[in-house]
Amino acid sequence: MVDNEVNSNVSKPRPELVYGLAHEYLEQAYKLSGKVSDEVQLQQYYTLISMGIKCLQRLKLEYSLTVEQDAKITLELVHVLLNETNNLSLAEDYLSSLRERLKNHKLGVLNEKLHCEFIALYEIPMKYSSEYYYKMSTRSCDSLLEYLKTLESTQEVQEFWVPLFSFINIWLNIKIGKKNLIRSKFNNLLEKSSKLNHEWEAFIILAYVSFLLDERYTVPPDVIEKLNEINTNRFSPTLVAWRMVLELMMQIYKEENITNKLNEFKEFFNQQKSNLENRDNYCIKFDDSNRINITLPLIFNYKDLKNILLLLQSISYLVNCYDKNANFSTKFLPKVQSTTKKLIDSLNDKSTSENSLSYWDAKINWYKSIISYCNFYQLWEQLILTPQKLINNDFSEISNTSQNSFDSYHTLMEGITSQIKGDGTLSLDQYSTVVRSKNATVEIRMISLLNSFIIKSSEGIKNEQSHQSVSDSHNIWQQVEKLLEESDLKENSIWECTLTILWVTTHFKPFTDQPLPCTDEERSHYLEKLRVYYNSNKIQGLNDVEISVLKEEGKYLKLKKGLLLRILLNYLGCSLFEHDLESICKISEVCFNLSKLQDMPVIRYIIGLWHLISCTSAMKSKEVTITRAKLEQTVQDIIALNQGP
Amino acid sequence: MVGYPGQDSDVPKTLLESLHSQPLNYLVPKGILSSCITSQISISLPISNNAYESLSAEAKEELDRDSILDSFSKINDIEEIQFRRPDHLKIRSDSKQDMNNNNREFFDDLSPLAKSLIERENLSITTNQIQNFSVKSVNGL
Repeated sequence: MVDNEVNSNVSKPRPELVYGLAHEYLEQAYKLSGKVSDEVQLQQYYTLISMGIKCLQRLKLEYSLTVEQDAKITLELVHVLLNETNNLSLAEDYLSSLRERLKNHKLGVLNEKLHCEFIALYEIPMKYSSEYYYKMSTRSCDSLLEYLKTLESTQEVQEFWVPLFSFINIWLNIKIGKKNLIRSKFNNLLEKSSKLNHEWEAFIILAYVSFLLDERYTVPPDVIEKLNEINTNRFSPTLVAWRMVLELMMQIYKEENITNKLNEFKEFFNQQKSNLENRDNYCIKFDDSNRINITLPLIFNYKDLKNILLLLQSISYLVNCYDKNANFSTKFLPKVQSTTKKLIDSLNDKSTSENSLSYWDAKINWYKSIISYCNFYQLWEQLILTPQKLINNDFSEISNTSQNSFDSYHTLMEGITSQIKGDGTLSLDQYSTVVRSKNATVEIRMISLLNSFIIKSSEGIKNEQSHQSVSDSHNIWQQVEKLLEESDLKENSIWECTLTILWVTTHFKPFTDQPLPCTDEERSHYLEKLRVYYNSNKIQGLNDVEISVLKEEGKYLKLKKGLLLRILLNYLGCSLFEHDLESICKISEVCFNLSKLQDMPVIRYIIGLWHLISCTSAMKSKEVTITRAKLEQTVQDIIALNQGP
Repeated sequence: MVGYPGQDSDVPKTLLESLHSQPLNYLVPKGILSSCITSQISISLPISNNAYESLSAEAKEELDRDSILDSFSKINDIEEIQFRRPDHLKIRSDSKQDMNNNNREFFDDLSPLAKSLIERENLSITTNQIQNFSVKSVNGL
């Protein structure tokens, strides 16, 4: 066969040359991929890619290749086709013909065979991103794992390929939404990985926690313990940085104070800055021939990480934006936006990179999402500071992202705006769209439900809590409780406190004219909860001794200061639990003053009435006169607002 | 209390009514964080080793370039390839689309052989060979 070829094709160049040319073209393209910024450069980029493809195709077509050579060349070709072209089926054809050829070789090509499976089960479904492919691959991955486990004699299979495909199996199950199995699968894999490779084990822990956070599930204590062990003594700073970001996110999700964690980052950067690289991937080495590359662009890359940390801080401190001394989000969100834009621009300037154009394209997509998030959070600042300004907003800047999950944030903002306008019906409609949306996260469904609950039960008052409106409110409340139980929101005391506040508001006079019906047990349950939150957070602060007593009883639940939350909690708690006229008057006065810090005239009016009553009872005639005057003004403001401009 | 401000207006008089038009602004949704940051994990397997030893510079010198070029011109398109158009190409405001631009800067650093092969082939990818990617457009699915 070889002789034959030499004779018939004297002028055919040596395969080494063709192969070398293929690499030269592809490497040149990847070197310049970051620079592509107009149509001419794009065409030149793809000319290089297409030359690379042709050379590889030519090797396959016109040369006789050993099975190992064929495997390498085909894998390279498939890789290029998947990343650069829309001809996914051509890539699949090449792959399946290679699999056929490998099938005839019983020995020596197991790694090549499994590499083919990796592409078929992971890379191709990812490119199609379709449920059909994910489902098909899940089944194939299950049977592949079954088969591999029977190959007991090969150590490499058990220690490299089985863990790898177990991870892909989990990934596929997440994609098809079989989420109930994921936790046990992760635990299983974790147990097996602990004996293999400590970096791989760390990766599985990090990926597991990332999954739990993404789904808003509680992270179990034993997993947190394992997470803690990923420290700089044993691990690369890249993995440690990932661990720290996850811990920071866990704290933010629980509304905990993040100052210590931020200091920890500062310290970490001081020590490790030189070891942190400006690259998006990290390689885990199993042995000389088996390695896995992990890509996590916004965390592994030092510049991106710094930017993300600023975003995380902004969001964590967002509720404080009304406070001139702690309005970090107001300063940081514009900074994140400008930094992100700079990062996009600097992609173009990269003269040497190793990535395909499609990678940079995806990265720009992430950057654009970050800019959209900043826009969204700036709107939320507006909701806190100047809600009336939201009314004329069309929110187009937040839907400007390719992430589907962001659509429901858009709808949420619309619901909120309708609510501010006083259009209860429209707003209930928009909120229920969010609740029903498949892509909506737990939190925004919860926000939608809670706001809906308020609208429903307050509208019920007008028709004296008809049977219908009572049962509607009841239904919404049941959904609220279910959602809280299923998610990590139950670990966040702000949510629990809010539920308590809303329950008390809708079930007690004078907070409502028409209390909703309830049992005695429910009443004492929520009152007890309210008492705990009120005692820990009341405006007339506790002294250290009182705090330590509450702490000992496990009844000290200090909340971060959201202004509205603070006012609501103190109004309810003080009205229900305080008896001393002097202290009631003091607390109502502080609440009344606080209500001025944000633009919420109707709340200010209610709190003002309360303060008026308490100073009248305490016979503070001067204070009564002042409060009356302020209230008159508030009434005028509200009437003017309702009449519109 | 004899009369109070707003008594006869339709301004809400209870907390519940006042919350009707006051969304709970302190409940800031944060779930975006994990979806934008951590769910972007992907893995890949590096293709180790090369299928062939690379040719030394001397070996390349010895090759008869003309005959190589001749042999390459026999390459036919095996299949029409459609390249993927990036979503965010025009990110630089100062980039001009000059279609008659003869600048071939991307080929400048190529070896003489690689460069002349492109010229010889007169192969140049055109705009309509670069299309947006969507699952629908792929494989006629």
